[in-house]
Amino acid sequence: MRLEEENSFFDRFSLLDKKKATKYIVYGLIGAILFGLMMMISRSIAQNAWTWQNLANQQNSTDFWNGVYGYTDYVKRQQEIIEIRYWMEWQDVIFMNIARVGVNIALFFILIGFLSFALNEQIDEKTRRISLVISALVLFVMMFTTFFASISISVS
Amino acid sequence: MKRKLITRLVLLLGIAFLILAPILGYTMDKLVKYDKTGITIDEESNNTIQEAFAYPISLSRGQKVTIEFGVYYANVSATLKILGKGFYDQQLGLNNSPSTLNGLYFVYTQFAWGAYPSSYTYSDNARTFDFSEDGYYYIEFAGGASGDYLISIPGSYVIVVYGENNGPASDTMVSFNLRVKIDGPGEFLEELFYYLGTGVIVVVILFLSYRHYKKLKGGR
Repeated sequence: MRLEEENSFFDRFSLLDKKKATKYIVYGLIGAILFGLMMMISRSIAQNAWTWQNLANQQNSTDFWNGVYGYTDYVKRQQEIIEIRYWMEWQDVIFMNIARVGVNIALFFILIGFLSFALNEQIDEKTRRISLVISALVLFVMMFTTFFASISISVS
Repeated sequence: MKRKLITRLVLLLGIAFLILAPILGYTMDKLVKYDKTGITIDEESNNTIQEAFAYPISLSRGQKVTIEFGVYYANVSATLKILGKGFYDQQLGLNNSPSTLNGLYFVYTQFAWGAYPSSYTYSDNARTFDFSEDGYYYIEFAGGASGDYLISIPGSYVIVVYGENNGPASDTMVSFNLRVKIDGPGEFLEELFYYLGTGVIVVVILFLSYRHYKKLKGGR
């Protein structure tokens, strides 16, 4: 029997040394922040689409009254504004799904990082325990946000 | 060093595309095909189409022509009609009076401040300034019209203007102003330059990220 087969699944994480585990956590955090930022920007654009439409419609009317263009161009612009507003709302679905996948990958990196801390025998017991609790929390968030779409954390 | 310079130049090119996009879109949106004030024809144009002013236009699908028609001259009555090229050629051969011909429908607009635009947009098949009138019409034409809306019918058309002079018998001149603008490639160019600019910047960012990644990995 080979030695690798004797190792359990968790034994493999202990292969991540302290430096590598820290790197995983940092990269995971950066990834989560970036994808989270993408989520927030995307949601903000979608939520403010109507406000933008009102402004664009007013600009369209003013341009018409100023004689910049005629009625047909006014109607054309009006239709373009509606189409852009639909896109502003629809992009939320696309980017939110991309961001969801991205955040989960980033959280996975953080999870591996903390698990590696928890399994590293060279680190003191207290830190290892805290790392295990944090990794359990991260896993908990990952599982719930992946399998239950109605659960979300909102920052206002 | 050379690579750095090329990267910077390409990045600048991308930014230049993005800056050029709205400028091109605005300037190429409508192409002025004809713009003249004080065009003069003889009042005989009221009786014979061969004496009338004629300007041919050709429209593709979705394209429209904008005509600004104005009269600010004493004793002048002038009428603008748009005819299909085939019909115009037939009538030109017969030399009929343009006043008896039915023009194609177009829409014309008045820029009434604060009012809903459709309330001041009408469709008609001719626009006339009578002797006692001075004025200006902003006309849009795409082949046909129904109510406020233009109907796109691609083809060749002729803008015809004829009129009368109500002054002394010796004064037979009919003067008017005309500006003809046709939809240009502005919208297409604007979109193209936006895509090009964004594409170039994305490629440069990807290239720089790849180089940075390679450096981090210890290569080169």
